[in-house]
Amino acid sequence: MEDLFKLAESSYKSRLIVGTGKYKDFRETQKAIEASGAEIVTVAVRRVNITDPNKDNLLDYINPKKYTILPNTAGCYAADEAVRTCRLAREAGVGKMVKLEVIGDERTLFPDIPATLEAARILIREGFVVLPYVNDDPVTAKKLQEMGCAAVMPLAAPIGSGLGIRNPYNIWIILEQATVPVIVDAGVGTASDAAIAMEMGCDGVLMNTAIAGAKDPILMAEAMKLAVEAGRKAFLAGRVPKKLYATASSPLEGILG
Amino acid sequence: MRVTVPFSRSDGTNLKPYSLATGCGRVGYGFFNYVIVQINGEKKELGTSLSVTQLLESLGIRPGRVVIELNHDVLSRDAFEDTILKEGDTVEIVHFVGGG
Repeated sequence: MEDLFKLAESSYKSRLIVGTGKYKDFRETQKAIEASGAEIVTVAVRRVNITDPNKDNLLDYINPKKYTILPNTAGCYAADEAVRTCRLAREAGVGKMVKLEVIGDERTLFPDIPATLEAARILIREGFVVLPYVNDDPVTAKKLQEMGCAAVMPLAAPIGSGLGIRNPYNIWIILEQATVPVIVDAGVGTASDAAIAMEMGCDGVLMNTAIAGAKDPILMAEAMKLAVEAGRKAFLAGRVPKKLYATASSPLEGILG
Repeated sequence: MRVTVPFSRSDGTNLKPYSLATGCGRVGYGFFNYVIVQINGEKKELGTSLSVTQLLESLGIRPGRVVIELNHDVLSRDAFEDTILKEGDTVEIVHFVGGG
């Protein structure tokens, strides 16, 4: 049976969600996303530079017919700013799924939880499919899923830090109580970090810097694709328990005397 | 009388004098009727009776790839043609960019 990633009303083959920021140019963005195999792609909403309106647009390279475009509210520090951004994003005609992030602190980019909850409540009421970026806090994750968020997206570590999962125990608690998909969002540094998230049983991983910031982003995109697939398969296969002492792999009978 | 500064009119538009000059001296003068609109945080003088569609055209922006907010409300794409910009309007023109 095919193992599909069910998110809101849709099913996806890939469990890797990738960002489109920090690439050298749109061509590189396009190649990296292709190599990652991702079907969901995050984008940001920003003012058009009216003194030099760039003729090239991101959506000329990332076809919304081929990819699910997931607009984010990055850079928003208040609930109303995030809601405003989502309303604008919806008008662009790429659907009603949004990545909600309300930032509470400039240095850590940790979320402002009260503001995130407030924005999520408003957005759900307005019919948005809300995927919130949160701390690795089981209480907040629970509140958000009970409110009607389509997934919860706890951070592995600060955005762009590349530290990997800092507190796997909290992620486990979030997973244990989850009634919606759990997507690790932010802080992944390399392929093993993504694999660990998937081996733990997370439903997906969202990343940007780990790919875009690598020396060879396209190769790293492929590495992440394989890591997410490997981690998922390992989770489904069920790992052996960890033991302190050895258990021989070869038969003990018939050893030459 | 010579008007040297722009002035507001009762219909909410503004007037400012202009003169056309060539190498042979001034060949014409008159008044330029305009409105001041804030676009993406910058004040712009626009001709009166300019629609949102015309504004985008004049800025060289493809309407299909942008979303417009007019005075803090999202403006539906269907309304671009018929929406005329007025004095004091605040316009935000946004699009998708790379982000994580």
